[in-house]
Order: sequence, then structure tokens, then C-alpha cells
Amino acid sequence: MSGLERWFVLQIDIYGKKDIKMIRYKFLDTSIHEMNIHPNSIFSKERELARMFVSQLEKNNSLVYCPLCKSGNAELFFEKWGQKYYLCETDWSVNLLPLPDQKIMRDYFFTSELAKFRSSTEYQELATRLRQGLWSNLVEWIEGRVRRYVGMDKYHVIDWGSKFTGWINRLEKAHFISNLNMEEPLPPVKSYESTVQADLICLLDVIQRTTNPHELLKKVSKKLSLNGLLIITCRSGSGFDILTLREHSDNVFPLDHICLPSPKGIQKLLEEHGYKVLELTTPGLLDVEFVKNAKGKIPSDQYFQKHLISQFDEATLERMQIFLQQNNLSSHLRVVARRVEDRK
Amino acid sequence: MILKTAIIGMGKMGRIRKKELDLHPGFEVVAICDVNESVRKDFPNIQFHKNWEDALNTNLDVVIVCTFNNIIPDIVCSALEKGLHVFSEKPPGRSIDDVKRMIEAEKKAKNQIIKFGFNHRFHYAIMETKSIIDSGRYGKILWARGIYGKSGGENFESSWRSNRKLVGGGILLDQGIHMLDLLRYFLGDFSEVKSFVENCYWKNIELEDNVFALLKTSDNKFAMLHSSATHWKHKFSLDIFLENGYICVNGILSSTRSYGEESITFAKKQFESEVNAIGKPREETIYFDKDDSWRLEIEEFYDCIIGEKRLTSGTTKDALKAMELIDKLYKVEK
Repeated sequence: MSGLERWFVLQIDIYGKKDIKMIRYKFLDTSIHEMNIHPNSIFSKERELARMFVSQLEKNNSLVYCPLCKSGNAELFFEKWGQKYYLCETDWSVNLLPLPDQKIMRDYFFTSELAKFRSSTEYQELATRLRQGLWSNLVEWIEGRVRRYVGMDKYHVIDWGSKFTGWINRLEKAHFISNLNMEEPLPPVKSYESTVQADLICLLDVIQRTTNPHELLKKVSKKLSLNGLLIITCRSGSGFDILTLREHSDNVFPLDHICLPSPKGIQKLLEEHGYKVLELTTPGLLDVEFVKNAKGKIPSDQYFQKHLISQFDEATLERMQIFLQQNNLSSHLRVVARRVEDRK
Repeated sequence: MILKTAIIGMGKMGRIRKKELDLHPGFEVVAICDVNESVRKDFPNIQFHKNWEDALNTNLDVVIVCTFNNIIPDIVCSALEKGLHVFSEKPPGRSIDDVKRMIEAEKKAKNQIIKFGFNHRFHYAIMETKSIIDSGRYGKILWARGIYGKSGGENFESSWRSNRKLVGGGILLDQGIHMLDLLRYFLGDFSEVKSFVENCYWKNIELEDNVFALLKTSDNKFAMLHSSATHWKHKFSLDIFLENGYICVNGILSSTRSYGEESITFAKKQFESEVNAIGKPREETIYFDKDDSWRLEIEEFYDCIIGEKRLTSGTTKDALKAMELIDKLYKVEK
């Protein structure tokens, strides 16, 4: 199926079946660009270290199934660094399959050269400098959602899977937090586990690097009080840039990106675990820019995207990004969910 | 707890309310009432009455009033006397005296709930607006500007809405009351008003088709209101400007979507920015695809009846304040 055909199938899939949209976002920030978040000087080293680690892994051809919906209805979507990404035809999630085992995951995120590099003071300080604005916006957004759905008060918060010390420093200054714990962080962030259930759990860019989203949700649910809020950000496999660029997407690579749910996929996952989705949006800013920056790598059968990127001006591309945001077609996914049921 | 409920008035609003009551597990609609006999056939399994007094004499806990404005006070007072909880559509009668009558009946009642359908407070864009304002992130409100306009249709002049005896007021009382309620909800009570109350186009009715109003609170917050029946394209917009930012609600979801998409755009004031010129701050817009306002309103009513919540909107105080404002706006012009 060509890229454009896939695109239309996705449209039909989203609009022709149960509509999961309740709210849609439109948000443009012309100060945010790919190079601001992933400056080549450091991001290329990061990717190279990841590639070196991944290229040593065994090639595995065992049976594959979607870790989100458990169906075996997946087709090979692309290969990167010898690893295979499959597109689940049931829920449009993109997943690295077969899944790497826990030892490999632990090595990759905790002891590899890449892990050491990411833990370094230089890397962490740069991340803090580059992402300060993004983090401020994110804290403000989380605070806004908390005020909207829970009310004006101070809450016990768990940040799950943090990887930036700067983010934790920024988050703990937020007005709505009484206690902040860190569960399952990556180095250099120190774990500070909570002994009681929290009112709010932030799961920011974590689902994308999990091999077992169901197990992750079970663990999270144990630490979240009933009626507590779960805030999720995550890369979505059904986003414009990923569907367009596939293996040429510079910022999607093993093992940082294993499970890339679609809006539909993450909604189903959350409902299965007793959550009510209050908001599910894709307010991404950079899909079109990612494609534009990689325009020489757009696969040859993606005529629509080639035409769009090469023939149209900035204003059109901006409108395209807004279209993606408003119709849940960006690859940056944001969810606010309430835990409404105890599911064992 | 299941509450036996009657709906008086089975026009458009009565049917909307019935749909929500049927979906709520705490209500059982056991009786309906309408002066129009033909309504009976649409609801074959529910006790039907042509006379509201007969309807109130059945075994009930709750009455929902969806009638013309002129008989709202009689039904509300009578229902309260009988110990029933009451939900009534807006406007709360035709005059301040009507509301005062209902307040007196409420005082004599035995802790029953009486709530008026200021439904717009339950729209997601409005709830979002309230949440942003209450968070204090944009500081204090400076001013607001509300426009609520509809197109009077082909039969507007002969419609019941244009019959002074039945309704008591024109577009301001009929639709503008929602915007007034919202302006009060966000800015507080107004101490000074100025207005033009006009018949700009519909000359054969004795009620206004446009109101242009300026309002001021005692702590110097200002509001502009335009309520119109000559807005040939339906429009709802509410802009609220605060010390450090602004919120603009555009559109309000309705069954026909004639007021467009419902959205809220908000932004921080930006005097200094590397990327944006002054006056072009970085905006965020949320669009809402779903209108749950009818459901949320009925849920709140139920929760108040069973004592789980305190009534905070659509109270008799809200009704009185809205009617006092309308009265002032009508009188100032004279």
C-alpha cells in the first residue's frame, strides 16, 4: 500500500468508526524547531551510540503480535538498524517486534555507552537549556488540566520514568504539587518511590520505550488513587512524519522507540485498565518540519508528501501542521485520563 | 434513589430534558404535560396531562418546567408548596416580581432544590474559561465583551417568542440572559449599566430585537454586550481580557451547530518576545466536539437533591440577579 493510500485509510479509520475525539488542539509556536530540541552536534552522537548498541543485537524472526491490542494482524512496516517495525492493522500502532528482552533493555537504558552519555552533566545541562521553554509550557499545561479536572489544591504527584534532572527541578516548582516522587527513572535521575497512592501520575514519553504497555499500566495503577489523574505524552505511530518517513525518521529508532500507539490504540489500552479518557489530542508542532528537514529521504511512493513539501510555502505547511493537530494525526500524543475502576 | 419526575411542557426543551432524564439512572419520568393533545401519541407509555395542576397532583418527587415564561412562576410556586424539587428553564418568568414570588415559595419550602437552566455554564468552553480564570494565571479580569446573536426566522414576528404577554421581553430576556449570566459568573455583579434597546428590523413586534449594553462592576470591571435577533449568521462569542492574558470563547455547540464549533482560545500577554511581535502572542486553541451540557446540568441537579453537592449555579439568586440586570437595561434606555 502506498503512503497516500495509507493516509486515506487512516482518515477513514479515524472518521468512519467510533469517534474518539472530544477536544482538539490548535497551537503554533514558531520558536520551537527540531534543531532547538535535537541539535545535530549532540543528537547525532546520541543516535550513533544507539545504533552501535542495537546493531550488536541478534536478529530475531519469531512470531510477532501487537503489544497493545495483542493481535497478530501486523505487517512489516520498515527496518531500522537490523530491527523490524510492524504496523498493526487493527489499531494503527507501530511497534518494534519481536520485543527485546529485559536484560537488553536494562543494558541499553542503564549501562550502555549511550546511557552514560545521557547521564553526563554536559548532556543534562544542554537538555535543560534547550528544553526550558518546552518544560515550562508542559508544566503550565499539566497545571491547567489538574485545575480543570480536580480543582484548586496541592496534590501528591509521581513522575514516572523521568530521564532529565532539569525536568524534575522544573516540575517540583509547580504550584499544584505537595509531594513529588520519582518512580522507575532513568539515570541520572534518582528513584524516590512513593509508599502511598498519588493523586496524579505523569507518564511522559515513557510508553514509547516500554516493551509491555499493559504491565506498565498495571504498575502505574497500583500507585494511582481511584479517580486520580494520569497524564501521558508519547510518540504516536499514526503520526504524519512517522507514516511518511518510516526508517528515515531520524528521531524514531530502536530501542528508544518500541511501542508507538495510535490515538485509538492508547484509548483502548487505557480503557482496558479502568481509565476514562478525558482528553486525547495530538498537539504536535513538528511533524511537517521533520518531513521537510528529511525531504531528500521521503520514500519514492509518497507523492502527496513530496508535492506538499517541495511545492508549497511556509504558510501552507503551517496550515498543514494545524490540520494534523486538530485531527489527531500528529505523532505527538497527549492524554489526560482518570482512573475510574480497579482492574486487577 | 430514583426520583419520580414530571415534565411540564413538551416542546423542544421538554424533549431535550426528557432525553437526558431517561439516560440518568436517578430519574424516572412518570408523567408529561402539554396543552397540545397531539403530544400524547409521541409518548404512549407515559401518563399524559393537558393541565399542569393535574400533573402536579400525581405521585412525584421532581418537576421539570419547560413552558412559556408567563406560567413558570405559578408552576414553580405550586410545585414547591407540594414539596417537590423543581428544575425550570430560563428565563425565570417575565419580571423581577416573578422571581421574588418564587424566592418566597423557596423560603417556605422544606429544603427542596430549585434550579434554573442557565445551561451555558455547563458547556466545556465555559468550564475551561472558569478554570483558567480561577487558577489566577492571567491575573484579574479587566473587561469582557459578549455577543450572542441569532437570526429571527421567517415566522419570527408571529412566533410565541414575540408575544409580550407570553414571554415578557425580547431577545435580551430570551437569549441574551445566557450571556448576562456568564458575564456575572465571571466578572461579578454589575453596579452600573447603559443600554440601547431597539427594534432595528422586526418592526411589527412589541419586543426588542437588539440590545447594545455597557456594564460596570463596583470594582471597575467593564463588559460590553450585544444581544441580537438580527444576526443573520448565528453567533456566540465571549472575550475576556485579564491583566496578563486573554480568553476568547467562540461558538457554542447546539443541536444544529448553527453557532459553529465551540472553541476557546487563550494566550498570555507578550510584551517582549524573540519571535512574535507585540500584539501577536502565542495562542492555544481548544475545540470541543461534544456538548454534554444538558447531561451535566441534570447530573448536578440530581446530586444536589440527594445531598451530594451544594447548588452553585442556576440558583434563585442567579435568577434574581439576571432579571434585575435585564430590568435595569430595559429601564435605563427608557
